[in-house]
Amino acid sequence: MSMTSSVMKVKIVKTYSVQFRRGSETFSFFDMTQIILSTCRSKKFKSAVYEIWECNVKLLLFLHANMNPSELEFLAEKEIVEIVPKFTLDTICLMEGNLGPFRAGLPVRVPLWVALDFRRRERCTLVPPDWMNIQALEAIKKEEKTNELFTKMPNEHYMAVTVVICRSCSQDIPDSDRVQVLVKDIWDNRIAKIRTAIDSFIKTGSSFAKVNNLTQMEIANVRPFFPHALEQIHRMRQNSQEALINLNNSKSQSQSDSMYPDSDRMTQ
Amino acid sequence: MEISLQDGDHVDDQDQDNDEEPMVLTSAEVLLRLEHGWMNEKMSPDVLPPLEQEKDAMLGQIKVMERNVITLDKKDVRTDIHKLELERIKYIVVSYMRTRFFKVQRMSFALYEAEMKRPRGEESVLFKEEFTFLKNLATRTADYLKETLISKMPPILQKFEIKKFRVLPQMDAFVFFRVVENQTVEVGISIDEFVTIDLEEGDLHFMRYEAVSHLVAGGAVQLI
Repeated sequence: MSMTSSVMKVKIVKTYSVQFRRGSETFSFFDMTQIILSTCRSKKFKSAVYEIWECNVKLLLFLHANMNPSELEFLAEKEIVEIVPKFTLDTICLMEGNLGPFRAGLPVRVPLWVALDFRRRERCTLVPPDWMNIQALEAIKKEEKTNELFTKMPNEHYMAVTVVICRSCSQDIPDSDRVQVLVKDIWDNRIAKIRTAIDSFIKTGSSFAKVNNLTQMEIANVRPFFPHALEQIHRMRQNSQEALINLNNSKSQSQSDSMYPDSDRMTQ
Repeated sequence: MEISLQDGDHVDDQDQDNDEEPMVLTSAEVLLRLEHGWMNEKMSPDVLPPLEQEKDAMLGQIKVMERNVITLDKKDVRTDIHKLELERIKYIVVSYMRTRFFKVQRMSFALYEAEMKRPRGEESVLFKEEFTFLKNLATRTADYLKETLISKMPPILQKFEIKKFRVLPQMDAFVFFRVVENQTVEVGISIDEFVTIDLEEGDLHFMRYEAVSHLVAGGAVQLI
């Protein structure tokens, strides 16, 4: 049992360690630990090395910078929506700005997180955003299908807003099931588009792109995989170019006074 | 976060060194800055300059609010909203600090080396507390490694080289960002070839971090 788990971890370290190398500069800690673990016999010594190693793995996994879905929902909850309060109250002074004044039955614009809290306590009803109905979403879906490029979404956080609203107050949204299906359709469509775009991006070998109209959630969806794949390609290309230059240099100089000429030049 | 009223004479005096005047911002603006800083910090492979004033101002506000929230009537509608907002603000501040903390831990040797080499006039990229932590971490890790590992190596390998232990920020990582102010940047497409790209306000771009790293801290681009 312990054997298999340690093997798993070794694999993780192996794959992640590659990404933190630059040329041959940071070639170091992981490879060294690996050599120690495979050759050393003292158990105590091994466990000490292993502990440091494990800490590093945790940090590596954490540092795969990305927004997780709950963080994106947190950001989406700042969107302004309309509610119809069931109470009357003067302005509430918040740090983000003032809310209200609230008059029972009169619609008022508040951040989504306030709306959700009121709704949970049955203090208001939510007015669905103007794009959150079947007609509007059908139109978007159609446009998304016919247009080759990404169309502009009605809201930067359309996916997160829909999920959050439908989770806690689906009664306020007419045909909420259908709305959810439509939003998911649009999402699937766009993700498929992103995949084909990524494919052509990698094949053409470009290193920058304009990605207007993509939303944060969609970016987060491709992030763990796509940028890292590109980084690997970039590094391979750079290394091969460096090697070519080194080869040319060594041909013209045709002299080596160091014991390890290649590794010497790599670090320069 | 204070607005002080001044006489006409004083204003004239201070016109010359206007740069040293503390900027007066509303708490909403401070919060927004901190939020953007938090997102930048999360997405950049490098440690960004600290938002010292923003953090201190927000922590001060949180303290005041915490004291006020206790005194509020529990049945009042407002109490819940104030509490909820407090939690949201706390989350941003804490997550910001935590993200930085993990980066400091991750790149401890490289950061420590950079801090040691930093010229006097230049501002540090770390908070004071972070630097104290970093100093302890780096020196103690080095000591620990020397004691347990390096001293037991064959004599030829008994040298502790910081260069071989450090993890450098991965500047060639790819990032997504939104342009806040019009800019032109140079992007390297191979070792010695560069392309100039115009960044227009409001556009979303995707490229390597090293091309835009100098723009992030100033707020000309927003990483997402």
